[in-house]
Amino acid sequence: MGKQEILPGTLDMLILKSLAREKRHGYGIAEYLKAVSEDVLEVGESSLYPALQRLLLNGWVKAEWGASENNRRARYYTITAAGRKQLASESREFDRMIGAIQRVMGAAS
Amino acid sequence: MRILRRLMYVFRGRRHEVELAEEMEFHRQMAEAAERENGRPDASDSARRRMGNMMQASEEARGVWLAPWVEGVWQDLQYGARSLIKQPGFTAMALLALGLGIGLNTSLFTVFNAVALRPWPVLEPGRMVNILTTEPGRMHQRFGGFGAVEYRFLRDNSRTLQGVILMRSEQVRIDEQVEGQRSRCHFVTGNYFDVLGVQMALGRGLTAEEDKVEDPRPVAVLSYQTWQTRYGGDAGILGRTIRLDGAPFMVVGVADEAFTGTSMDRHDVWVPMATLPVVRPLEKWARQMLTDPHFCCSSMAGRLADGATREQAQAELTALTRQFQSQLGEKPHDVMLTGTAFFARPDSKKKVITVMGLLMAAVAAVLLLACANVSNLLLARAAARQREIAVRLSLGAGRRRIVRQLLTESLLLAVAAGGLGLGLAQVLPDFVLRQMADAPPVLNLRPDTAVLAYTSCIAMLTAVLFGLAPALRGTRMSVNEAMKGQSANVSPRFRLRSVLLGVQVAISVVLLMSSGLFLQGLRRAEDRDPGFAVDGVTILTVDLPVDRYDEQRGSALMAEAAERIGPIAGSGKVAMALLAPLGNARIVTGFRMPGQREEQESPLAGQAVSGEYFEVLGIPMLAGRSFVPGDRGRHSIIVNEAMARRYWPSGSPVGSAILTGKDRREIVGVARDAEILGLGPAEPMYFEPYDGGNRAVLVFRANEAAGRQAAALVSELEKGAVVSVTPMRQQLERWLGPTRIGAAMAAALGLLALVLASVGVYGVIAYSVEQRRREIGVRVALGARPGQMVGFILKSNARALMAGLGAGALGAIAMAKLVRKTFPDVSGLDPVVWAGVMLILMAAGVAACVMPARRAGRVDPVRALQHE
Repeated sequence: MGKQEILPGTLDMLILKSLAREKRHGYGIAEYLKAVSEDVLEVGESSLYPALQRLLLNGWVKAEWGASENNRRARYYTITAAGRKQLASESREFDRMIGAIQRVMGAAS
Repeated sequence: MRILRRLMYVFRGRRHEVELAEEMEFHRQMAEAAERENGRPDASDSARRRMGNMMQASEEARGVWLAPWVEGVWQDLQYGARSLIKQPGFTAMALLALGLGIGLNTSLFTVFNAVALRPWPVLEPGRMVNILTTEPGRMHQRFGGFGAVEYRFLRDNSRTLQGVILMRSEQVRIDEQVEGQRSRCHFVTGNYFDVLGVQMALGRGLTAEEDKVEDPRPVAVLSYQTWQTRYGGDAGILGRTIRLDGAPFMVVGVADEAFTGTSMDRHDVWVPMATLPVVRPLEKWARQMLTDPHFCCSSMAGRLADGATREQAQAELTALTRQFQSQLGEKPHDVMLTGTAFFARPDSKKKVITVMGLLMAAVAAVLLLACANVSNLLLARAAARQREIAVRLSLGAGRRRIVRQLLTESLLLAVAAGGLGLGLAQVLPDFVLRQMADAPPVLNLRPDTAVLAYTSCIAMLTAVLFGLAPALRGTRMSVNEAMKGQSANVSPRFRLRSVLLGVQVAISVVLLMSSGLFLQGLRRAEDRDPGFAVDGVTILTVDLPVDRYDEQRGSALMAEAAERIGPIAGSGKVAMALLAPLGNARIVTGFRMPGQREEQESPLAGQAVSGEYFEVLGIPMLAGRSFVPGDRGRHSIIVNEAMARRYWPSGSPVGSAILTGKDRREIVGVARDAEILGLGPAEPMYFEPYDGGNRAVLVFRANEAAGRQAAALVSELEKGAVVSVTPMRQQLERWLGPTRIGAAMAAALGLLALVLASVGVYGVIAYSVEQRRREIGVRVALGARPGQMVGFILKSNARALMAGLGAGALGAIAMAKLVRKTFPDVSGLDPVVWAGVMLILMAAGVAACVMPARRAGRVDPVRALQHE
């Protein structure tokens, strides 16, 4: 099956979600999204890193340098309290949207 | 919070980018490794491709941190620059007008800054303080200095000052200086250079050991200027002996070029304070000054100790000086500390502030005029760009966005003009100062932060002043009509232009009027009767070597000189005076009427003259008598008419007395008013008797040849005397010099105002013709002749022109009052000036109307109507 572009406006939420359990580096986030979505969602560098900078700017994630699993220097992102709040509100909004879309699509025509 | 993080980003700058690059490289390598594990040979390529353009990604990632408006501003700047370049005519005009306006303002501020605001050119000038005495409860406050003994007491006991210096300046002859100005020698305490932290270009500064009253060492430090001009920058100057009024001094150092001294005086040479009696061996006061505790007044300054504030130092010094004065049984004085800039002294502030205020108002008016002009040009331009703006508005650009863009353009213009102005301020003040004085004061005219800040503020302000209204007007439009090429709502825009027109006319009336007043004042000063004889009077200045002549020997020699000159002088009379008439110098004494307390003293100007003075200069006695021998000992004085009128309005003052300090001075005569202190209405003054000293001015009637003969006679008597001959006429001319410069500057400003205003009026009218082309076309088609068209155009602008003239006239009346208060030379408003200014402006207005109107008259009605 083909690679799917991520729905506009959801990337920030997806990144926050991927950081909800543990801190990850950029590549780790991309891999995580790919794995969990069973290869459907693929995030390119050109959208991932601007998104991460945006999250940093908004104070939703923090970044710190650490050692990667293969002992290389990597930059790890951690979700902040403000980030968790944002994630909660965005996923609520997302659920509402999806519900609405499904109702429209499921309606007998 | 976001703002803070953005700022953090800006401060981290380069590091942030490096981190981002490293992070992305890590990502790329991880992806590549993963591909390879999956057994793809071209893994490296595909990973890179799949990941998209690295550059673009990092560019975008970085872009997140920049506020969106930064990008917008950059766009605006580029756009603005492009549109300015596209219209070089408009840009050049605007730059010229604004550049001149800002340049004039900056020039004036540069001079003001150099004269009044700059602190001494020393190490940490902010910690230096001028220390002045004030007398509690005085009506006319005097700011005095300290005596050497009091100085030593304060120096030794002050904890809040880490160094205190005392300074006194005297005129001396360096080596055999027979001609020209004498040099300024500053007698300073030995710690002077150390406390100030002055660098030496050569050698060393003075030391405390060299400044002992009982054992003064004749050593000298030259100023850089003196070293260069007098000694040709001779590197072997150290150790050489120079003579100061004949006394030998050894040069031990040359001060740094940047050190121009600690007062407005020139500083040619510095020597230890204790050598004062060495340079002035015959004068009693020189020694007294150093040892007599009752003797004041030299300037004192100090450097605040670490941690001490000015308030603490003031309190401590006041306490110390009270203690000192009460031990002496003298009336205690207060101490006041000020910064070292000229303007920091309250007495200098008063002098500077009115003159400066007027000049600033004048150049500000010129700038305002320039702003009105450019504003008009911008309005015209906005009208021409209506279509472009309409397109942008209809494409969804917000009005605010477009206003911002237009303002950015104005700002660009203003900044460029500010640059031009700074350039102008580099040459103009120097040029004017050079014209004004033979020996211009040493001023540091290089722009410092204060000047730069001032210019930037002015540039910003002008940008808003000339740019805001056109930007708001230009964007308030109906997109529909503008696209159709109609300008239906002409009227509000036109009203703004009329207001601008009126303002321009008004400002130029005021400026032209003041230049008229100055010119008229100059003319009057040239023809005025100064109240004393000018033609055929010669002034002979005689300066005897002070190392051989004390007061007494000096007077004896002067008397002999007068006697010898007698036979060649008209009527055989030779007068003596301390200061030359119109010599730009005066004696000022505090005086009071009998019965008043000393605190009530007010300042009074005076001259010291011999009895013959009034006869030689043809100044009659209106009451009483002239001076006779013996008057000096009796403290007799003569007052002038103005003084008599002010203080004895009902009767003659002869026989009354005034008090100066502890002296009672009886008035023996009243002299008719004569403008010997300066041309202009005579001010109250007094004369005290004088019979010569080691420096005197001989005044007698003689032509130039006889004057030179007299000079030769004096030189014969004493070879060491410095003698100079000046015909009184020349003295008068020299006095008129600054008035001429003032008039010339005022005229230049007025002319500039006239040009700016004419161009402005022309612009407005030309534009109004352009806008009403259709209407004009119709009128022409209906048979209006070109002459009628001129009348029509004139009439439609007459109201604005008239309103401007009226407002300007009111402004001129107010201004004339103010100007006369500051510059008494200036004449009052007189009909000639009024008529002249109004005529000039009317002519300029008509000329500005005629050209566009004639063009309007030639409008081809067919084409004008087709224009739609």
